[in-house]
Amino acid sequence: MEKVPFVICGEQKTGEEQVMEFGPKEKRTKICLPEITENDIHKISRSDMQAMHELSIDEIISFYSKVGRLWGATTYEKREELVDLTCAVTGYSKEMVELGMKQICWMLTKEYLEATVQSDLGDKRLLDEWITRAESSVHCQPRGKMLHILAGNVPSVAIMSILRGSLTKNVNIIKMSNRDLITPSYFVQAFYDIDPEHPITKSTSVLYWPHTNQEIFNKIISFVNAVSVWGGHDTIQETRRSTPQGVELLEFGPRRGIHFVGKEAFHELEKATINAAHDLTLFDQECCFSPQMTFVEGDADKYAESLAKSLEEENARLPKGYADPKFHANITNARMYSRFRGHKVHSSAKTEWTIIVAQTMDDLPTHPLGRTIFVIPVKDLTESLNYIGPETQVVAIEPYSRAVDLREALTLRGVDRVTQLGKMGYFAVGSPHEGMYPLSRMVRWVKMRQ
Amino acid sequence: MEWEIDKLLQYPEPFRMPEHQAAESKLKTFMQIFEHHYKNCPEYRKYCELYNLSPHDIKTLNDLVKIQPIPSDAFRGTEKLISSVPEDKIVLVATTSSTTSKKACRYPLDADTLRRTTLTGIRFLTDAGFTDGFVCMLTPSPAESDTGLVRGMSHVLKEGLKFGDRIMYAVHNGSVQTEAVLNTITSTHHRPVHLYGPPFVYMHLVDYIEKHGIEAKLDKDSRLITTGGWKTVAGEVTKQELNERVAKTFHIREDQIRDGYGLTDIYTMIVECEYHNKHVPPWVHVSARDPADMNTEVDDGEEGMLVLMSSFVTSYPAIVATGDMGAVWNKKKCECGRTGQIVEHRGRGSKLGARGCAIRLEQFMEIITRK
Repeated sequence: MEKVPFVICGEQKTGEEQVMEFGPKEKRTKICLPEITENDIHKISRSDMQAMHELSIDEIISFYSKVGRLWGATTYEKREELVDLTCAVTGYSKEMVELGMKQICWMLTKEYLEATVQSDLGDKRLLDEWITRAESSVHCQPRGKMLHILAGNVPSVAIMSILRGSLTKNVNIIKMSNRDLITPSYFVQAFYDIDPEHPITKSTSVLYWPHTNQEIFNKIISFVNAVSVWGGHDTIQETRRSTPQGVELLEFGPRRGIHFVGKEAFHELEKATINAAHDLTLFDQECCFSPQMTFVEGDADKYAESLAKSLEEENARLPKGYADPKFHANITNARMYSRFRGHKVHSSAKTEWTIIVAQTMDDLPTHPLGRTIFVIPVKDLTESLNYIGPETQVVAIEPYSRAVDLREALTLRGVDRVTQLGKMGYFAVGSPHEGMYPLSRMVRWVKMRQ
Repeated sequence: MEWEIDKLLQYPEPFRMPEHQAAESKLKTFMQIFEHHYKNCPEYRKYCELYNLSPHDIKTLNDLVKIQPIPSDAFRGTEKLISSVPEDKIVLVATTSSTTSKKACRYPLDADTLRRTTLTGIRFLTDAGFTDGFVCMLTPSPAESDTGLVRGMSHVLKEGLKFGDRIMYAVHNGSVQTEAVLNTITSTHHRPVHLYGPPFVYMHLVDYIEKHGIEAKLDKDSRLITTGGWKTVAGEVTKQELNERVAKTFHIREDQIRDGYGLTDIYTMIVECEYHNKHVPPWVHVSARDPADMNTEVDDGEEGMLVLMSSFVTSYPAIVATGDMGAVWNKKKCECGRTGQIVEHRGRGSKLGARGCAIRLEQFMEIITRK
């Protein structure tokens, strides 16, 4: 039995009021969480926004750099605990969680944090000072208290959301997902280990309540000024419905990725499929950027054969972890359906990965995720544009030289990001996210006429 | 052609057939039906060839695991029916609705299959205790609903068990005729009164009776079959709670309430016995497969992906993976004395769907269609 603490304005709180079990039946992990009391909510509602506001952006960046160094140190005693528990709760393999940790530590470098603020706001000084812009003095004020509703599918994304809240001097209230009850709690526990009196430590709260408990949500939403919500269709819709007017709402998901493979890619096919396999494998395809479909200009079967080999290798490097039998059933069902319909199915011995080559988009099974890709041959990549809409977050193109010709048409259809195969899960420093610069929406842009 | 299944269906108490006889009969019927579909359904034959499977490979009951199921989604919305009989033999195309897709599954039925459907219906309803009295269907009438749950059951009751006009339908124009139902089931002189329908309508009746303090006593031989899925009452009440409340409300024993697992894809139903075990009749074979390896069955009682096979459906390969998860016991003895397999339905595999913030393909297709 593992007691995972909540953090209420910097103070840890454990309990056994909420108990959840994860993992295979022969090796269940029981997670115990405390309940959220009226007192906790009251305390969070009175978090010290002024102390956050008085921090300079450099102090904030410096604090998070220390957090990054702490998590990067293998000697930090909580690190191993975090990795083991994250594996047990999320079902991801140790290799996958370690990769997530690397991503987190990279995001917590001074260079990354500075570049994020600079690119999102244009000038990091706006957070501390009034800067002249044309006829006005402009300044970024924090929105106040920010609720982060996390999806739990990618550990680094949770941290990204928290970071954004702090970089804009907001007070962070973090609602964990039952998909990952570990990373946010442990991440924030490190704040205390660095400096228990730091304004970020003392103003940050991490909680969990089931999504059915509307009462807690209603109490918390009544005093927050901004919401950053990550997740599937139902979560986004529900949050949208329950968020009062005037509260800034930033939505992340649900979306997906697509691979475009041009005929020139066949000159270095193995290189292309190694990269494609990495995109597909990353966090078992549960991310909003994960590719679900590949349009291939040319011999789709040849591409699929090479991809099969690459997926086998990538699976050895980043193995699949544990998933509920129902997820395996969905994959098996998709394979059976495809075979019956005459599509060509390449697959691993069990359900590690699946490639379904279909001649058209008309008769595909329900996408089961779990490292499954539909491969569709096209005469010209421009044909694929008919299947692109705002649900597509990212399109990765091989060879990348083709991207310049396609980027205008893709982004006009709603795509937010055009990248290379193998880079779908890696956001370039300074890039917008979901068609916006999120930090710019987490502040209020205020001005004084010169 | 002499069908083994027709011999089996003559057996008066199929649920209590001696095990060795049931096993022998089951093997014969399934060998024959598999060969029939293999030879007469081109799509299924092609599918089997992908797995290097032919009728020669089925020699014992243990070989039934080699038979490849068709996912029920493959029957969905296809222009060309998946059929094992010539087009002119098809007398009815049955459809099933779905909560997950707008396209219905379409199953061709020939006269032989319909005749046997009625016969198997008589067998399982008689076994469940629907032998005499009055039936209140907690559903719309067949004129208002084309689902198997309504039409199939009505047909078996009227034509098979000769209930004639001793049947009423509780739902009209989308609403439950609560007072008419309560009035009829308490006053009819045709006894015992049986009920059949989805859990949420039972819930509705129980709530109404409790709220208005109505006396609604049923009979010691009444049977109350719940079917049609628990989804609509999930979160409101457990199966056990509903059974307790229904038993109390109608003054009956809990063993009179029987849950039915409606196998619409293979045109039959498996109804619980008095000990709440779902006994599989010998004309059906249920297999719980390893979800990660369809060629392997999981152990007795372990959760797997259910594969349902019928040996009485000749018009299409009723060898289906419905997406349901469940457990099968091949050796378990039940106190009721019935023989054969026992199955437990544990929900749908596909219900969980995608996790995280990845969009589901069907949502994507909806977006594309809207453009």
